[in-house]
Amino acid sequence: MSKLYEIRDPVHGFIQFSDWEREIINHPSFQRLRRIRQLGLTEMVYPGAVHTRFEHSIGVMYVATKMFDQILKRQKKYLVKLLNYNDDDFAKARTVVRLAALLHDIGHSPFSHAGEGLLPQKRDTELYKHEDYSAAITEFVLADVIDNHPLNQYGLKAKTVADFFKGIPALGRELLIWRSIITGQIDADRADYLLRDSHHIGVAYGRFDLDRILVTMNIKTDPETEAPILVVNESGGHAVEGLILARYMMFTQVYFQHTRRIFDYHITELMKFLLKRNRCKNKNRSSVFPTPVNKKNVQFYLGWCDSRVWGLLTHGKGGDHGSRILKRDHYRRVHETPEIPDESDLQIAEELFDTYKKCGACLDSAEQSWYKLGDDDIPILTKDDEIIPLSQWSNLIVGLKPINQVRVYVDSEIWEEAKLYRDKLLGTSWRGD
Amino acid sequence: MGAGGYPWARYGLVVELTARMQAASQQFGKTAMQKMIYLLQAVYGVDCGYDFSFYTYGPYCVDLSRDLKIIEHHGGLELNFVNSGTWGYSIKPGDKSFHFREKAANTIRQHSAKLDAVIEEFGNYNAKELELRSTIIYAYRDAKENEQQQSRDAFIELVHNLKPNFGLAHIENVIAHLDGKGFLCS
Repeated sequence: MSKLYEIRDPVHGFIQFSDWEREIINHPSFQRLRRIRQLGLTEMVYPGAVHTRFEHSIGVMYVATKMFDQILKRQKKYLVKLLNYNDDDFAKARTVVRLAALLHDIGHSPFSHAGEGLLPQKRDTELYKHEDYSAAITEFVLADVIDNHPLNQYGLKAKTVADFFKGIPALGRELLIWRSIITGQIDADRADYLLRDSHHIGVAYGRFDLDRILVTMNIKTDPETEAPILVVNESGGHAVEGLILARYMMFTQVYFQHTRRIFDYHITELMKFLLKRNRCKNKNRSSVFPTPVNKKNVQFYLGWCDSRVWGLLTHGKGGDHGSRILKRDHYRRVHETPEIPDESDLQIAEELFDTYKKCGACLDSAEQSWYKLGDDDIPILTKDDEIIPLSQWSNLIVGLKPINQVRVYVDSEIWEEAKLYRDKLLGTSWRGD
Repeated sequence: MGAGGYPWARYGLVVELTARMQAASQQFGKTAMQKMIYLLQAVYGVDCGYDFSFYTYGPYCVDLSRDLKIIEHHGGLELNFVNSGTWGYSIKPGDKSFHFREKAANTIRQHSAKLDAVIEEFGNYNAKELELRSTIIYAYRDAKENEQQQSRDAFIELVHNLKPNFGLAHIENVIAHLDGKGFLCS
């Protein structure tokens, strides 16, 4: 019998985990998450944003387990019929969901999503994502603590958890059916980070009624394709509206906040500089991380965390962008379009950027943000047992339009000049900061 | 951060596909759009820039779903909810679709034959059949990429596991058809 441990979480209260999970949590590759801030340099705007991927990962495990247990409680007969499951199969799937939730972010680079632009090319126009590194770390580094642990009563392999991240069809629907809990329209990841980020930052924008969503989550056959999908019962519809509004507000007020975004740019440029210097020593001039295809590359990747970068910065080894971060001397916003720009708005932004890009100007758009708003059409199961999209069920959600605001930033030394040129383009006076 | 604004070429391809699908499909909805764009990328090599992930409902890309909303907002597409036992939408070209197609004219011209080909091969299938075909292609290529050796029978079993509402014989026929056309090879 496994001993249970508890950890006190600021958002969810006590969270329990087993001996086995404790060993995974204590592994150096997981402990590294204590040294990776959840929101990069958001603390430059919201000083409370110093929480880490460590507590978020444990929080996601908690929420994902609640979701799994609720769906099973409500729909055990349906799932038994659909998947031909017995109790051991359910227990095994629950273990996979917990481990996947715990490890889903283990592959983050320093400063979380700000480092996403430092990942190498996967194919054609596609770059690797942190999820690819999470899968590789799980498979190459955590195999011993997962595959050979005495409490691993189902013979679970680290590769199975890695395949779960990647959505490998060979897993079969018995496991894939649960993947939406980790990465889907109503997933544990998003549910946790909205609440957690709000809590630490000290804003109310990301709060929503998670308990109500949990007790109304359900699984149902999609009438169009006959595939099983996660739905929310109509009685939880307003709680889901709250979740969508929380995402919308957190995006506009926090994740896409203009100063926060320019620090993402400075971190990316700083990391390129540091990586190039470091990899030059190893006769590799690349300014991106190595591909997650073998243990050696993954170990190199794991050697980087926020603390290491701060150490280099404070020793004056961060170059121009490092110096800017130390002095909070960021590029300044010279122009931004409306949240939903039309073509003429975009043309002005692009012309301004084209004029000043030789002076180091940068152009940012909501489209490029990792936190960009996605598909809000969560399926709602009505009292008449029909599935309708949230956008049809809710008069509130139908009014939300996709944000694609674009901004131009320049060095403060040319900000006044760029502002005058911007005014000329606009043909009117506009006041930014 | 870098190039910003709207990816007109990608939007233009989505609008163009929608326009050409009107003649082929009785109801072209969100599910069919997801699968057709996946097939256009995977089988015909038209890089629309979408990264698909696999679920029990087949390949799906959240960015494509978001793009549909943006294009709809700017009049490139018209999405209407169809309350007919399915919870789907009907997607049609919007009143400004011409503008989107014009902005992406070069890209559309470059891939015109491939757009015709994907519609000729897959355009007449409903969402359920498209989901089966895209699932087969995704699963086959994924196994190959991950160097998983499996017999034809084992692969049929896997597809049946993923799509149990289709009979084994039907799955076998579809696999044979797709293989015969060379669609399973990347």
